[in-house]
Amino acid sequence: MNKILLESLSYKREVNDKYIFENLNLELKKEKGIILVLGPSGVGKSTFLHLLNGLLKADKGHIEINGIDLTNLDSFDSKKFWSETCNLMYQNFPLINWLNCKENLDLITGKKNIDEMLEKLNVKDIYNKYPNDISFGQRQRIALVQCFLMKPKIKLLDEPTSALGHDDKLKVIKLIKDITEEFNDLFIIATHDRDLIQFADEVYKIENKKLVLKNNIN
Amino acid sequence: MQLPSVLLSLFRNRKHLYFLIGLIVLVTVSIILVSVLTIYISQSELRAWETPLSYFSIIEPNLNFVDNDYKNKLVEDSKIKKVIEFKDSIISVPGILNTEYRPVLALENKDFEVFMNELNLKLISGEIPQSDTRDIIISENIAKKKGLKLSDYVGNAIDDEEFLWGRFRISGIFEGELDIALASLKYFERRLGRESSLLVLPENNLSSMNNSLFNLKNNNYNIETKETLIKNNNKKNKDLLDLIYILIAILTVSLTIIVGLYISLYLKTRLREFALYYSRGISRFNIVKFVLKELLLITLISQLLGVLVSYSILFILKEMIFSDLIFLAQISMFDILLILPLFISIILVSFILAFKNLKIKKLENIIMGG
Amino acid sequence: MKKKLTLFIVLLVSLVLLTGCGDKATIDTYSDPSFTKGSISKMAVFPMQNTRLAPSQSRQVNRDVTQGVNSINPNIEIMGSAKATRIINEHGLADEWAKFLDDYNSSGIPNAQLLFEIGDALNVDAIMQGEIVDVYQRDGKYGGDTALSRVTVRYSILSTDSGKLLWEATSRGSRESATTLADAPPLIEVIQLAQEKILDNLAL
Repeated sequence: MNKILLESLSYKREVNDKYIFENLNLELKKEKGIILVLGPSGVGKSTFLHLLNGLLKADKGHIEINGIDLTNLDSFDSKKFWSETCNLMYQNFPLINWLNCKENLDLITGKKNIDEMLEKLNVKDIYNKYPNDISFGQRQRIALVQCFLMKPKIKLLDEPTSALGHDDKLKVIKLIKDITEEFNDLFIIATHDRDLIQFADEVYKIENKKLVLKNNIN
Repeated sequence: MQLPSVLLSLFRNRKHLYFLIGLIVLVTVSIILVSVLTIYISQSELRAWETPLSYFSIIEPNLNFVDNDYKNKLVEDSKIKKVIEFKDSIISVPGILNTEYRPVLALENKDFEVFMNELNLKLISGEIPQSDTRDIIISENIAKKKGLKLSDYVGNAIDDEEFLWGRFRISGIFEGELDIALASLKYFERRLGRESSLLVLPENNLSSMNNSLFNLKNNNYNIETKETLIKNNNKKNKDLLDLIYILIAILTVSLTIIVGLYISLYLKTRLREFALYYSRGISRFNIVKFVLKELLLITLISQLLGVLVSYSILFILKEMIFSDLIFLAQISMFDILLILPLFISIILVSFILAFKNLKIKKLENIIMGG
Repeated sequence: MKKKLTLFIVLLVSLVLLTGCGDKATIDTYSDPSFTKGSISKMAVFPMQNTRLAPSQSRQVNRDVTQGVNSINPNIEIMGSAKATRIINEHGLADEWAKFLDDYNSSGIPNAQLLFEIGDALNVDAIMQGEIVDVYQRDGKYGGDTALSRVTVRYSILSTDSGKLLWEATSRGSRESATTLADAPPLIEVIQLAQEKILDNLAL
């Protein structure tokens, strides 16, 4: 069971000194599934993920994820957190372009045999190609597989479908759905793409510098 | 997550590295070859006299004559087998840059037999020079390299490029360990003047004879042994060595600057990759270590390649381009050590640039949407 | 009577004196840069060519040159023409030498190879060779020309080291009688005149 707790969280952008989140309170208790964070561009979706991930430090308030206090600067070990608890897949997620897809994945799995899994996830055919030789959609899928292969159970995805066409988008979201079903991961996805709502378990929206739960299942 | 293998990274990224590797190889080769060739050229005197002075030593009078008292002292010394009067000149042999020569010793007719016996020189054709004539006998090697046979003429009077004065006639060829030529002392004296030097042959051991000679030291005479030859050669070449050092320093600094710029660029292109590692929980320290390992390997491989290429070039020069000439240059430890500063400075620059370019702020910015 | 005798004696004396008049000797020299003092230690002097003199006179001329060179620089060992000729003959090089002189006189370029052989046989550093280039003599004609003898003498010094010409001097010596009564002055005298001029200009 994953527990995410945000208490009186406030964060403002350095650039224009405006608060993006003010006094945000949120408690998420979920074992697995897909949580969407909706909102137009610039509203702070990515910032929210970065705060959850520990890349950005809150100005005021308290963040605790699975017992780890992100706001205690002395005790927070970002390396350990990112490799064990919570993983961020950021926009235009890069793969190492001088390794082929298989080798990219091997870096995480330690070359374990994952053929069956890959077949199930429908990425076997691009396994031996280099990132520059496959389409953007295919790259996103490999990056996703990489992300889910990592140890942390909480996975933050920043706009995973933003630059994809309709077919690729569906493939990606289906993949995420399969992973949650098969492997018990919790995905928190920041996006402005309303097509994903039907696949999500919970949907939040950023309104008035806070997160508002919109729907449980749409 | 693990970091990928450094070797694999080098191999897969090799296209970006060809320029860098090529540059380091070029400068390494330049440093080594410049040092080898300059030092080689400056040692032509050593090459001429080192072997002969392994068999005998020379005493040169500062006055215009040899004092009989002194000469008698020498003759009576138990460590000295024979004292031979002689004058010397040089004969050119084909070498690079026309700097190569061998000694020409002019002896009295009566001393030829003793001298040649002591030094294991055997006449294989012709005869020893007649007194007060232009006759000269040369070693087999000199004859071969210069393409001379019996009755040929050699000398500066008939060949501008020749070092040996006047004109001589090859009256004989001998074999033996020494690359020298022998002529008539009387003829030398008649044409050049009466001041001659003394050649001393050791009874048993050359070094004990040399010690004896230094004990008999007299301010009117200069003693020339193999050791004094090497010492004087080093002294003369000190300025040349300083020049080499300055040149190498300039090459090293220039290359380090260029390499530094190139590394900076190279790191910038891979910054996204490093940000990826960082986002996966690999510490900045480990990422920097990874980068440094790569750069260290590149530098090491390039310099080793440079050493190899130097050996190859020298081999080609010796065996193919200069095969007709006498070219004895070799790469020594000294020459190879000269590339060490380059190695150290590139590693140092790599350290500085790796830490400078892989700042956490930069990596975080990329992750957050840069 | 006494007056007539004195006049005759004066006339005779002046006649005698005047026969020595009209000596001239020109000089023209060439010197190679390598021809320096001390560069020659031993030199052979060959008999003068084309002397048109009697053997004893020829020998006199050759001796004069040898002595002349010796007095200029006593340090140079001179091999006289007699000895030089003998050694040439002993080595069977007489024909070669004649050919050499022919070649040299016609082309002005010495045959180095021959010079080397001869130089080595004689064991000298240089060879000095003189020759009469041209001769003109006329007797005095009463009521016409005075007696005149004129000769052009040339001496060359050739290096047996390099096979090249080291030094060359040409002198035209002439002697004219004061009166028209005399015969042409003896050839040997004008030769010696020219030769002396040449030796005067030899810096050895």
